[in-house]
Amino acid sequence: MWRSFPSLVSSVVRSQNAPAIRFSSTMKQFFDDEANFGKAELRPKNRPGRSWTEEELRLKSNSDLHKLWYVCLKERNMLITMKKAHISRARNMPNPERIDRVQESMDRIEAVVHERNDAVFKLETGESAAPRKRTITSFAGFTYKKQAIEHYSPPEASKKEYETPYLDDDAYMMQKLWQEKEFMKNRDRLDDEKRRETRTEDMDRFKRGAPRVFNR
Amino acid sequence: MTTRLARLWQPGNPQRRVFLPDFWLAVVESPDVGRNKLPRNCVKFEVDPRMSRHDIREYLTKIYDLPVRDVRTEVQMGDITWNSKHDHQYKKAMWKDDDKKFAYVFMSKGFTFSYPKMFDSLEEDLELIKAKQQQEDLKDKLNEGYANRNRRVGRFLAV
Amino acid sequence: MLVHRVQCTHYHHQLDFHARVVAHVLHVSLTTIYHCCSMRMIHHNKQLEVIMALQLHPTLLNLQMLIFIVRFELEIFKIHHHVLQPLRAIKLPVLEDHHRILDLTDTNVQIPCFQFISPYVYAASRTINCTVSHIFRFAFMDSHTVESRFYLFSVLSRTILIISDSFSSRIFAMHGLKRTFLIRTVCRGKASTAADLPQSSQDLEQTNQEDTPVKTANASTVYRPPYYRKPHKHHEPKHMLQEEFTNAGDASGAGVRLFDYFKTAEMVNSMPTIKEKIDLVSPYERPWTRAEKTWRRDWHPTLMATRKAWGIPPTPAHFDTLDYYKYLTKTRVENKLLDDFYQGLRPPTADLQNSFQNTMKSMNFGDGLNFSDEDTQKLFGSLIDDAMGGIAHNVSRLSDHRVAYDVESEAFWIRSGFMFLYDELDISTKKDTRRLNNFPKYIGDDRRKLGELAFVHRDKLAAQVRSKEPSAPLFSLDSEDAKLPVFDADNNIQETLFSPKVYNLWPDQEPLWQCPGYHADSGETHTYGVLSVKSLRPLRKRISHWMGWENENELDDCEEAKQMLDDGARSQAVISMFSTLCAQAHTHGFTQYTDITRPFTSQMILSDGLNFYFAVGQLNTLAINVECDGFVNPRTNFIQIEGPHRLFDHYDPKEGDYQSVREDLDVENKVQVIIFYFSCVMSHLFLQRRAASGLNEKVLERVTQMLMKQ
Repeated sequence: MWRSFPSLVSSVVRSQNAPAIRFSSTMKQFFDDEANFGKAELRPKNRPGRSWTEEELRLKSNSDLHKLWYVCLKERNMLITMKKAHISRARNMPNPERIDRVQESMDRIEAVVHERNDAVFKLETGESAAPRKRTITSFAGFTYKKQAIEHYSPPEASKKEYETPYLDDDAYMMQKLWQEKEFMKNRDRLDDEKRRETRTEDMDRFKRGAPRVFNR
Repeated sequence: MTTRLARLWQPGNPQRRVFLPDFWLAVVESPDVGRNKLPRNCVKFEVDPRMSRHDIREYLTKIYDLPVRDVRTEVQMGDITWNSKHDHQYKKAMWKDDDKKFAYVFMSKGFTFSYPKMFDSLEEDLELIKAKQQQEDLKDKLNEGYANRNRRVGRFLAV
Repeated sequence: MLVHRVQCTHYHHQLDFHARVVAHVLHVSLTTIYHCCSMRMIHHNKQLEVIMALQLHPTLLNLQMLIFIVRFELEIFKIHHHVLQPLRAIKLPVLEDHHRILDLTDTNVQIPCFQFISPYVYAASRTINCTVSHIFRFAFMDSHTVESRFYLFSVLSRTILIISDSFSSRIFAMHGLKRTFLIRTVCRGKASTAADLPQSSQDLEQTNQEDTPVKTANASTVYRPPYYRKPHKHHEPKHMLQEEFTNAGDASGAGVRLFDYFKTAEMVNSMPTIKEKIDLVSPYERPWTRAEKTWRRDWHPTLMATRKAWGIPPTPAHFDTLDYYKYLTKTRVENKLLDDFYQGLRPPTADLQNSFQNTMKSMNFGDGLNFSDEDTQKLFGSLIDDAMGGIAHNVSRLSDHRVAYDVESEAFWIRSGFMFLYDELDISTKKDTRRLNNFPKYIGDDRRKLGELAFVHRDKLAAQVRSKEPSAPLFSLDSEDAKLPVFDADNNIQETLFSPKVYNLWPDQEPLWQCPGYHADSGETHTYGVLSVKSLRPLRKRISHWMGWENENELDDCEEAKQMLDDGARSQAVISMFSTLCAQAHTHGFTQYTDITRPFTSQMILSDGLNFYFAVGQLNTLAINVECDGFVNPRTNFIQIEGPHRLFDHYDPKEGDYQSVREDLDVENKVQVIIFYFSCVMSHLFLQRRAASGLNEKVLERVTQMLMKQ
């Protein structure tokens, strides 16, 4: 079952006017074989085999992989349906390893397709097909890689996350002290402006030697 | 792969296509009586929470070839385990189950679907009956009706 | 009337019990009784002592007087049939008097004062609605002598009667007494039926010949049940003490429901204005104000959710709503041509052809596929105007009619029969049980979980023509046509009855109105709707969404889509018609509790711009809000829908002309005549009666006929 070529062309090709007779068979795709209902473990003949390996999948063409993906997808849906039915009745599904094997097969198909895609991208564009990753420094100071997301408009001020580079003692101190200096310069500048504003003519005239008058 | 990568679409771009969809769908039971009873042309699915109504419709139409007419979705919040659920002011959530998304898919008018009865004849029950039957048969063969298995063995009358 | 539950532990248990009973009967508190009687403990005849002590009390002197009056009245007292039924089923307890078995069936035995007692027994049992067996059982418990039992019994039964008759409003004041009667007490020996008694045999024969009482209820046969009675079937008793022996009304809970119904009808009738009547019956509950919400403290009970009506959308939001809407409005649908109805009306349509085509061209109707909803509504408005203009010179009463555009036609009503919403499948027993206790009430239902959901329809009519006089009814309220059932006998109602959410209805929080184009308190003179026009444009969009198309181009080619359109149009006709007529009936003073006494009729045109449906409907009943035993309302509403008629079949975009295919019935071999319409100038040259039409003649004729119909 696992290694045979699927002939499910009809499922891929969409037909608008499906006859009413086929509906019961269409819905049967969501459920296991009726002989397997209520079993504690599947009979040896009905048991599935192992999952597809990457080596085996690399031998297949893209169309075959595409078709296999949908076979696995439908199988996974069926198994999930059966699993949920068993859970709702507080029972164990027979051979639950089937879900894991299907998942492994699907992951490997994805990996193989990604390999091929990556190769094409690197040949043609020079960049990998993998989603772009950016390093970001978290609030705690740890750097981690995050997948880049596309946006319609540029980021708002101070909303974008960046990587702050790791600095050694001197450089770190230098940054801090420089920032402190800049801060104080700015503060003094603002202060001066304020004082200049509040300065009166009398203050200029009597700037030296005049009696200091305090506002009590 | 493509379902996990949210690529933007802008006018002028070609139609966005997902070649290897990662979504899962499971058929779920619905009650035969009461307020949650559904008509026969309606099937209740539990779907991947990332799916939209359009996604569900396309999925069922193209992959399963079902005559979908209307899709309605409903998100059910997962159960929360509180440390003390009656203390409304200071209770803390210790655990929350995942949210589930259900889709009520209405097919065309002539469609009928009823959830199959899977657990009527359970293998374990049948085997139990068989084992009991075997035991019954064995009784006749092994002279169980006349033998006294509970007799005192190993004691001499003389002693 | 309260009985103090006095904790008198040092009094004998039985004395306490009897004293309590007598306190109930006499409307005094238990403490009063204790003060009255002597407190000495005597083992035997203690109950007698209590009663005798009480009889000497000054408040009881008037009772003695009443006894004599009542005694004579009871001679002609008729025994009701249903009292006798349980009576025949039980046997009287055999009295053990000094080890002598007294057989009451033996007519030779002298039974002192039993003859005096029996009519009281029956009368008493009827008054307090319990079976006679209980009275006997109560009377015969713990009494040692025949005389004492009978004496006690006669006193009690007499006092019951006195109390019930003196409070002649039939208020059931003896709750506690009834409960004591209904508690199973130790019954010694077997009983023989009272039917064997010689005294009352004559009465029995008479009642046997009477007809069994009809099960229907009306205001005179329904009387107030006790306050604690629930409008549902009592739950299954788990043990003896929970058993209840209810009468017919309480067994199903119908008694309370019917009482409420008729009491509400009484209240409605007592309301002076129609607006007040409508406000009384409206199920709308306003939302809690901020003050009410902040006033609530944590230890206060939670504020109950306000009742919301289920909002039926202006165009159906589901593709299979016809049967459901028929159930909601209790309407019988007939899909027949309306030719018989408009027999004899032959209006000229030539003017309307020209004027309407001009209107369509000026609005850029084109092929009608990309026409917006607003424009469609305006188009229908002008259709009515053109039609009226065409025949105004002939039909003078049209000048008296009122035409309104963009009319809001809203109505609310309550529909019963939704008790299945409280059903649940028990996991363990796999049985279908109705769960009312400790279960949330369904949205739109009454607080008592009656399965009566409120619905509201806020319609948007393109145009409405109203007049001062009502339209002629199709058939009278008493005729057989008014009582035909909504669904066929073989139709399984379980396949249509689901919760409203299945049909994509959503709860509506806004205030509810009964507004057939005008409000009840607006002083409108033209109160009867003659014709309403509705646009079904949004339905096309919905159908293309359901079929998964991007536009409506394929709609007219696909069979399933056409079926959906037909279904949607018919269901919309049903619900729009019902809402206008229901609102009209309300503004004329009728409500769901005071059902209509004359039928209301109206006509309707529904269209999506291309397909036209014509409907004529009659409202025969509003009382669809109660469903229980004893409530009989066989009348159903009626609607006859004709359609779909295409407005035109072909459209030539180059020349802007419309072509329609018409079946010419005058021709013998019924050849289909295809008529072409050329430019305006040419038409005058080749003008013939049949050839001139561009748009479908049938449609235009029908529109005009509807306006002309009286």
